Parts: sequence; structure tokens; C-alpha cells
Amino acid sequence: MSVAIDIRNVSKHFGHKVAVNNVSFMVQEGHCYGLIGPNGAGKTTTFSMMCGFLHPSAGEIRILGADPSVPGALKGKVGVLPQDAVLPPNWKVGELLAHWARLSELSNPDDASRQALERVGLPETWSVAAGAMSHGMAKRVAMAQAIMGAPPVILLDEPTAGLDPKIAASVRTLIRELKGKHTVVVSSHNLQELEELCDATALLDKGNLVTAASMADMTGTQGEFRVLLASGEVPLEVLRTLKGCREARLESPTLLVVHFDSTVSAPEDIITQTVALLAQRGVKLLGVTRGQRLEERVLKLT
Amino acid sequence: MALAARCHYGAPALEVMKEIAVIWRGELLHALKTGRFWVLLVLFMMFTGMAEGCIGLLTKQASTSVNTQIDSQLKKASGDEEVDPETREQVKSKIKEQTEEGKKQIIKQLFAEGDDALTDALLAMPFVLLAVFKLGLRFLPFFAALIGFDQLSSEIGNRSVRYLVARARRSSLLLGKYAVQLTLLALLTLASTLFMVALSLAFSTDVALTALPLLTLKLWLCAWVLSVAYMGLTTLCSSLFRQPALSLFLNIIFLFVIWCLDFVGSLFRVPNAAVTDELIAAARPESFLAYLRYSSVWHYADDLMHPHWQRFLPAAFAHLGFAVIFLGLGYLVLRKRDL
Repeated sequence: MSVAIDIRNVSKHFGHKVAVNNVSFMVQEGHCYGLIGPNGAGKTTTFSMMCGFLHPSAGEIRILGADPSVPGALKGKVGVLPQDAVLPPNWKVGELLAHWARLSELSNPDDASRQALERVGLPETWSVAAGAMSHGMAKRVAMAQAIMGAPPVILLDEPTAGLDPKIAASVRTLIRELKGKHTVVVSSHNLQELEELCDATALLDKGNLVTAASMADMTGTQGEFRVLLASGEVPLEVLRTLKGCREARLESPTLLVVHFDSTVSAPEDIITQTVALLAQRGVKLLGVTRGQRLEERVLKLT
Repeated sequence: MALAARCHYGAPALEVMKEIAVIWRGELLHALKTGRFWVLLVLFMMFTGMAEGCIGLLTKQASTSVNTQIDSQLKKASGDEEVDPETREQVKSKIKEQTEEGKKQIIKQLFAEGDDALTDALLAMPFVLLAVFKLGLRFLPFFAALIGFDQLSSEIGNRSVRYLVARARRSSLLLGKYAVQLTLLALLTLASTLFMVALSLAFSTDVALTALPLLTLKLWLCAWVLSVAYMGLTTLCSSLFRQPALSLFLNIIFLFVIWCLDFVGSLFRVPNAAVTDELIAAARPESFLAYLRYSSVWHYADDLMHPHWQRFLPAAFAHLGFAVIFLGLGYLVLRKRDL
């Protein structure tokens, strides 16, 4: 698998303020990649530099080998959903999308626009003025323009922000469909959403890259599992003797955390052995989860 | 990787031209459907109608007063006796001659900067039409600013420009938007020129109908060449700010500076230049400040109506040159700026 997006030592200054400081990460082709971090972390700035909206103060960005700051370099390669860009209010949606499709040199602009609107579930908005739509509809129309023409790289900044749960779910479904066929970068505050969608992620805080890793590494699914306990005494010393177990501890009276070496023991083996041992010792269980929530990991790191 | 559509790229220059054409076509069609264009058209017509109405009425009043003058002079000359037709004609033609000479002097000083060839060319036009057209030309830079001040700044402000820069080069965006505004202004000036010429028929009796189509075309071309430069300035100002109001404000300041440069330059005579027989020009003191006029696009406007191509062409190229400078600066700003 080749690298679709390569960001090397990128910094961005706004006057004296450093918005992004020496950030580097790579996105593999076909992956869904998350950009996460608290407010002011530099997610949108990094995202905007990837789209060519902002010029980096230092460092290099390559999207499919092209430098976004070179005029026309991203044409046909990237579909973009900017976070706070307003759709031109006086245009009708169909007219607007067809205009943009022509600008992207798509072979059949009207068809491409209609298909994109159908994919986001808004075919009826063709003749509606962009300024007359609700926030949710406008967001989906913006999403439609990003996926229109099936560009190889799709960059989505806060794609579900401000959407009601039902529409947010439909957007997530759409992103899931894009995975594997396109390289997708999603910048979001919604960590549960990113955990569900992304193959890898970069965590930013105060403009710095805290970590860039696969989602499995971020959430520790290859080296950790948790058991939610109802009652009973946990035999911690026995658990620690299981093959591949590195550490077993009670994080609270009802939560057992086990760290293991997946190269010694496969996750399914050690989880099954642990559950069997606990059941044998009369410990009652409420559930088992692999790794830790992304949210917990992010809170620890930032 | 499944890709439903791939784009094919030719030479960059051709690509830029294609992008400009797409932006021009799409945004022009959209602009023609919006109320703004039609409101501007009505405003243009109102301005033309009011200006022509006022000037037309004034010239009619002047004409009536000339006739009254003729009658009173005839009465004075003849006392109570009946004036013979020959004397009447003599007095009439003498006063008409004086009026024509007065008109010529007004045109020469006001509109032709003392140039005889230009004065003769302008004399061939109905006076009402000339006066209103010249007034229109003076206001055209402001109209250009009013039409196009938000062409880029509004889209940069609400960031909808981001949807465009993901698909087109910034240069195409700048030139495409400029072309749209220039086309709109050309349509508006065409409509108002036609209206102006039509109205002038109502106020002038000495209009040669056969010469009107060519005259209309000349006037419109003159307005269009002027628009090329000033719309370039408007595009530059629009690329500088996120707030359209600031762009408009700076545009008006620039127009004032351009006018001032020409005005200050015109107060002086170029050192060692041949002294013309024009009294006002000869009375001006020599100073290097006179060169300031050449840095102002305003200075070249009068020659756009000059009958000699040796004067018209440099003026036209000066306007094109200023347009290139303004657009070049606009591109540098847009190219460097964060969107």
C-alpha cells in the first residue's frame, strides 16, 4: 500500500501565534485517517494546509505526490468538505453542483451532481436555493460536492458537526462506504465516531503532534482488554501467570484490566482463558471489551 | 483504487483558459438571473435618464433664450418697423455663429483639453449626448466599483471560495471573476449608451440618423476600454480584504488618489515642453510634478474619443496596461494569501 498523503515537519504561524508546530504524519492509500485533538489543537489549520487553503510557514505536504500550494495541483485529485465554508446562498443546489462539476472537468456534470446528491440522500434539493437550506441539509450538500466525481482523496472537516443523530449516522455510513475505495481524512471532535471509522489517527494538541498511530495501537486492541465485573474475587496472581499476560490489575472494584503480548498469545486465546478462569473461580461478569476507548486514550495523552 | 472519473490535463495555459471560460459562463448566467443585475440596469437607466433630462432641458432653455435674444435684437434694430427677411436671417446666422463658437469653446476647454481635432470630432455629436456621456464616463469608475467590489471579498469572507480553489487555480478564479464583472458592466454600458442615444434624439434637432449606429458603437467601445482598467482596480481591491465594505472603501480611496494624481499633474507644465497656443496651458508653471499625470489612468480617458488613432491607440493601450498591472497585483495578493 502506497502513501497517499505525506506531511513532513509542517508548521504554520499566524503572526507570532504558532498554530501548527513541526507536524509530520503519513496517510496510507485507501485508509480512513482521523485528525483529532481538543479545540485549538491545529486540526483545521493542518486540514486547510492539506487542501491548499493555507500555505505552510515551513515543511512539506504532498497529496498523491502533488504540492497543494502549487496552483491546480490538487485538481481532480481531492474532494474537500471545509468546516465553515458557506455555500453561495443565491445559487440553486443543482446549478451550483453542476457548475463545480464543470470546473472539475467531469464528463457529465448534471449526472455527476445528481448522483452525488442521491448519495447524500438529498435528490429533492436540486432546485432549492442553497441559502434556504437548514444547516444539516447544507452540510450534506457540501458533502455531496466533496464526493462528486469520486476523487481519490477526500478530506472531510467535521462532517457530522451540528447534525442530528439520524443524519450523522447516515453520513458515517457514507464515509464507511468510501473507505477502501478512497483515501479519506476526517477531522473531528467526535472520538467515538473516529474510533468507529478510522484505520489510523493523528492526535494534535496545542499545535503539536502528540502521536500518530494506527487505531489499534491508539486504543490498544492488540495488547489490552477489560473485563467488567459484577461480583466475586479476582485471582490476579493466577491471571498474571497466563501465557502472554504482562499485567493484570483492578482499575476499580468492578473493572479488571489485562495487558498482554499479542506476539506470544493471540487476543482470542488470552481473553478466552481469562474469562474461563474467572468463571471457574465464581466471578460473575458483565462484559469484555478489547483495548480502551479512544476518548480515554486521548484524555490521558492531552 | 476505484476511480469513477479521472481528469485529463493539457497544457497549463489551456487549462487556465478553460477554467476561466467555465467560471465566466457559469457565474455570468447566474448573475443574469439574479435581481442585482436588473436593479443595476434600472439604476443605470435612471442615472442616464435624469442626467439627460436635466442637461436636455437646460440646453432647450438656452436655445429658447437664444431665440428670444434674436427677437429682441431684431426689435431693437428695427424699432416699430417690420423687419425684412434678409436682415432677420443675417441676425439669426450671426447669433447662431456666436452660439456655435461659444459651444466650441466650452467643448474645447471642458472635454477636449484644448485639442482642435478632438473638439471637431466632439462637435459632430449632439451636445446633450456628449455632455451626458462624458458625465457617465466620469462616474463609470464608481459604477465599476459598485458592481464588482464584492466579487472576491465576499467569497473570501464567507469562505465559499474554498469550494472553488479546490477545483480551479487562483489565477483562473481572479480572471474568471474579472471577466464576469467586465461583461456585466459592458452589458450595462451598452444598454445605457443605447438609451442615451435614443434620448438625445428627443432633445436634439440636428442629429444625423445615419451616423448614429457608428457613434453608438464608438461610445460603447470607449466606455468598455475605460471599464477594462477600472474593473481591474476593483478586482484588485476585492482580493485584498475579507470584508466587501473595506474593499469598496479602498476602491473609492484609490479612485480619489488616481484623480488627484491627474489633477496635480495637470496643474503644471512638463519642463522644456513646447508651449501650446492654449492660454490656460501656457500659463501653467513648469514642474516635474507634471509627470504625475502619466501615472494616473484618468489622464488617458479623454483620448479614448480622439479621432486620430495615434492618440486613441496609446490611450487604449494605457488602459489595458493599467488593467494588467491591477490584475497582476491582484493575482500576487490572491496567490499569497490564506483563504
